Amino acid sequence: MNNELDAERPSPEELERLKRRAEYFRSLRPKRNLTTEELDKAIDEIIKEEAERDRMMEGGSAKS
Amino acid sequence: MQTLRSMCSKYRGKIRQPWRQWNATEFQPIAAALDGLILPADSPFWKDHFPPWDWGCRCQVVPITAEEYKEIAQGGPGAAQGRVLSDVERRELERNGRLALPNGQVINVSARQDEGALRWDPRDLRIPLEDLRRAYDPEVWQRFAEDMRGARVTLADGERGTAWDWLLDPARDDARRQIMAQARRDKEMAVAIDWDTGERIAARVGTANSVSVADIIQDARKAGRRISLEHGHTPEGSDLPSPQDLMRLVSDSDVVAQLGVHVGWVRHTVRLTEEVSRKGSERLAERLFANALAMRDGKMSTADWEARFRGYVQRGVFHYEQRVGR
Repeated sequence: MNNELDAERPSPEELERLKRRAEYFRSLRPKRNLTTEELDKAIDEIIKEEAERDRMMEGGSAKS
Repeated sequence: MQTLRSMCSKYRGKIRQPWRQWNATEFQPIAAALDGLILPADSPFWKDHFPPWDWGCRCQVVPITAEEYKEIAQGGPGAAQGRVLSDVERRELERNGRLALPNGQVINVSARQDEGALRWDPRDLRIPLEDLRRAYDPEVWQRFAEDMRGARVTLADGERGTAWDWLLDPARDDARRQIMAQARRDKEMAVAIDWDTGERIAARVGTANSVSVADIIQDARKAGRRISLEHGHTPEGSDLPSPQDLMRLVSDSDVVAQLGVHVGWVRHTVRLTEEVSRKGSERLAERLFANALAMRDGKMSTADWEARFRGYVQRGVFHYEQRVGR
């Protein structure tokens, strides 16, 4: 089993890319714990932004 | 005669030790080949190579100060016990796992499948959570679990989490091996692990694109259990948790404490931040449902989903961690 996984081991370059991506996602986290109010506000913003983006994409595809 | 190295040993706590040396105390071919090897303390080599080498191995890695290093590199009193690589040799070792020996032979110390090759991973040392639980009475176990869930740890590869995450790892690794075996057969597999005990509760195998976990969640809810829900994506699938994955996590957050998504050499772990309110999670679940439909209907690209996912992590709505490795 381990041998099978080892056989699929990515190249050193790909491994480095994956590790950089993992570190990048870690760096995105907020520096402190957020409160319930702050998180609810963040969710509202996400919903608004995504809905807006969806509308723009639909508008774009309707025009084309 | 007291060497600079032995004198320095008295002041180890005060002196910066930017180098590490491998000291072999046995004669397995690869362990012996590493004897005396000195590399920078921050060399990537140490992330994958650290004693014990194998069962019963008594090799050690000791810190070396800049002064000791200089003494050894210049052929001083400690030189006979230490081995310093040239820049070219060090790069070859760190990038390709190939170590040049003083006799000119080059050996591969990165291979994990050949006979006698490095197989041990520091993470393998953990005691299964279920064995630990049996050693405590329920009250002490409860206190222990609470402490471990609050204790933050950083692993050698920079991964951050709680001590509880670390204790759950053997059960998750075991599930991962089976999930990845199914992924190679183009089948998704899901495994539910009890969040409090590390015990495997259930496993299901589905199709190439999905695996049904509704009954697992329903049973866990009835039993009042919380679970770590592990599943895999086939090599052709998304290499990030999908909108459906997150929707499951948010909609069933009373049962699903965390979600593990296994794709190739990466393990993704996602948790809904505890402070998110019920109302907030309901709104988020609706949004994720819309994203899932958009993905299914080809209206949202993988790049767009990745950007949205990044936004959730950035705003602290989800706690997310990637582990790269076996």
